[in-house]
Amino acid sequence: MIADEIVLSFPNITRVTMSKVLEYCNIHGAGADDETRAFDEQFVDVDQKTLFDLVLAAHDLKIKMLYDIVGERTGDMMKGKTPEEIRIIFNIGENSCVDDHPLQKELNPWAFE
Amino acid sequence: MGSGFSSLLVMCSPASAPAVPPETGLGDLPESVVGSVLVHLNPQEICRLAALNRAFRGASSADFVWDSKLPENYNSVISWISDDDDQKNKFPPNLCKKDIYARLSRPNSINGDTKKVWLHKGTGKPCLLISFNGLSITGIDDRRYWSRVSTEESRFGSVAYLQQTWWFEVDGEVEFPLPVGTYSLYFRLQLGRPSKHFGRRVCNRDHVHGWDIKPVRFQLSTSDGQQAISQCYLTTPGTWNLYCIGSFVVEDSRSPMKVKFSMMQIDCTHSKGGLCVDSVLICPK
Repeated sequence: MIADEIVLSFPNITRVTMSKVLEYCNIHGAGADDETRAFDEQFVDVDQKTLFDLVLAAHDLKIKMLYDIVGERTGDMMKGKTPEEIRIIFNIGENSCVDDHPLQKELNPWAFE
Repeated sequence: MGSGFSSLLVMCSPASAPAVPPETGLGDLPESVVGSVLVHLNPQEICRLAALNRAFRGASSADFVWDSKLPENYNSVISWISDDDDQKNKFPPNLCKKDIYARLSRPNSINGDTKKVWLHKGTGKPCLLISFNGLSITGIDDRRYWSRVSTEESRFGSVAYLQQTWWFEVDGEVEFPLPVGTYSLYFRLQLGRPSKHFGRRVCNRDHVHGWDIKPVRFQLSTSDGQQAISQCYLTTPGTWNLYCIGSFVVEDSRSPMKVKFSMMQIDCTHSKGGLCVDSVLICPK
């Protein structure tokens, strides 16, 4: 039995994001080596919105390697920044806080020793 | 009869209706996605960012995030600590991974506080500190040669002070479930006797002698046949020094690694003294 067409539908992923995901998968199809590492570095060097779209797409599509590198890139962007700076850079609203835990140092002193 | 298809069509949302609305930021991502970002940050950053919003707070306590910070054989480390009568209730079975990490990252005293173990935050691997009381010092009970000095300059609250001897030998061994990695071993020593005078640190160097005549010989060996031998002169009176005697590699964390180590200066043609012996440190390289 031959089907004429297989249709895969991803209503939560834009065309632009999907084409980037497919580009990633094509390059990594043969496994990791020096060339794919160089590709990865420039692949994650994108604006914030594109990066979030990729994070969500990799999460939904369960592509672990892609999920890891975009997660790592997002983590790198957050390193060394205060929560206030991260709110501004990543557009996290003040009102999205459930309650006030300003003194994480008091809650988790062991992490700051 | 095989199966196949003549074309594959991938349909996505149109570019004019983006999956993530323009105003949406990292703060609107689900907790599991936030967690996948947090695994790349260090423990301090993870705790600090818990205050950002609900997703961050949830993710900052997620087991999978802290599991990534724990050594692969953390259960063996917990068993080793819990074997000590004073620590047997420190790791109850229902602890979340974050609490396990918190308790392992602070020094755990065992064997009557002759050993302390904690996780190095940078690598997540254990550090082990063994007091002089956990070592075998030749002549330690002979008050002509050795005495015990209380000092806050040691994590154990006291050090062994050598006034003088001809046969200087300190041996030790430890068996510990180290995770895979490379570790270095150090002796923490100081030439000179520490004390406080009107609240100020003072170091008495009157009895320091003999260490510039011949070097001290250090030796280390492991249960799987690794060895390191070195020698050096003890120097810089008045300051604590960590003398690195060598490194070893753990390739299999399933069985505990036994490490033996020693330092000696047994040339009996000259005496030596004025030395404080605090502890031995094993830590990830």
